[in-house]
Amino acid sequence: MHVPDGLLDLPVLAATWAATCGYAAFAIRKSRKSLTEERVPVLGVLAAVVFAFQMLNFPISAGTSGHLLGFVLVAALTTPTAAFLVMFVILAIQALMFADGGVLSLGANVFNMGVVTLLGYWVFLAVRKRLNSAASTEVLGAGSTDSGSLGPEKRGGAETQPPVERELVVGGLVGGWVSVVAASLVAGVELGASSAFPYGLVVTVPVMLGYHVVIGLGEGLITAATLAFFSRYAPEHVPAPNEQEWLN
Amino acid sequence: MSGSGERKNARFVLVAFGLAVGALFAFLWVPLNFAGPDGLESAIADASGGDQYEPEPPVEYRWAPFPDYSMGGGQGDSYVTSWLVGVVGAAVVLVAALAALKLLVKGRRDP
Repeated sequence: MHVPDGLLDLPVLAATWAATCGYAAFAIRKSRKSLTEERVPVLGVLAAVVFAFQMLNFPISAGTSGHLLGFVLVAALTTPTAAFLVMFVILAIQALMFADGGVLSLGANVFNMGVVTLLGYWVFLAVRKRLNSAASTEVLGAGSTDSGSLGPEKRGGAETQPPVERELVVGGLVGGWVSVVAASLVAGVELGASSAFPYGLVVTVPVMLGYHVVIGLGEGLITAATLAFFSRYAPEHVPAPNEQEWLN
Repeated sequence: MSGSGERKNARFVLVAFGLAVGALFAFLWVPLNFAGPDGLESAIADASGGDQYEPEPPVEYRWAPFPDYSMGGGQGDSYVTSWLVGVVGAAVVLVAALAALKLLVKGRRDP
């Protein structure tokens, strides 16, 4: 979904750069307050993980391939503003070192894959919180506190391997899918609105959505599997649902 | 940071590092890795009725050292060279993210 240079005209480039810079200022301000020095290596390694995963293409249909975006994965393990910064670094390096996505259209790419994908994170969080509260009610109703999804002390403190959190996996699956579909919808709108691309919204939006509703399934599966992996092997680094915020 | 906090971080970094290495090795060995056009490229081809639509950027950026994840302009490239480029890229992303985030944390104005 990396938009190359030449497809977007000046008004679309200017609008997406303005939106990206505005959100970047917000993300930097929020992260300066919330980011601790000990979380820096964790985010650095997550950035490398997402880059490595983006190297892995999976076939979908008719000779087309897809790969992970990774925003919901990083946001689920850290915060959405930190995930935005990680995506910015990855996309900037992909554009400057690998010509993967244009340099002029970097603002649009960061906007699509680091801001619009916030919708996927919100869906992830809504699903996770909803399933978690339902699970907590069931556990309380049964008169037991033996649940893998009550909080970090319960999940991280156990000596035995903690159970993989069901709501984290379901949230990752749905949120990952939504993030790709939302990003492709906006990319389709940008292409259709651009005078540099000779086809309008009626053409660009359906074709972008047509491919990315399928690619989104791959995103959801990889996000869910990776979150399950972290939930299993580094559970103390998976924030509890009540620790996660909508914007930061 | 406390000793237990450092241990937790070290474990996370180790797990995540293992995942990154695993993904890079999967790129090298998994035959499913597929170099067809991505969703955007296919969408552009479909929108333009299968024409080879070549955008003409107003300013062309020509200084990418590994364009399209290849060495030497794509000539004589193999799976292994693409993998090596991927390893270099992952290392550069790691260093750049660490540097940017360190700068962010250091630049914080303490109350």
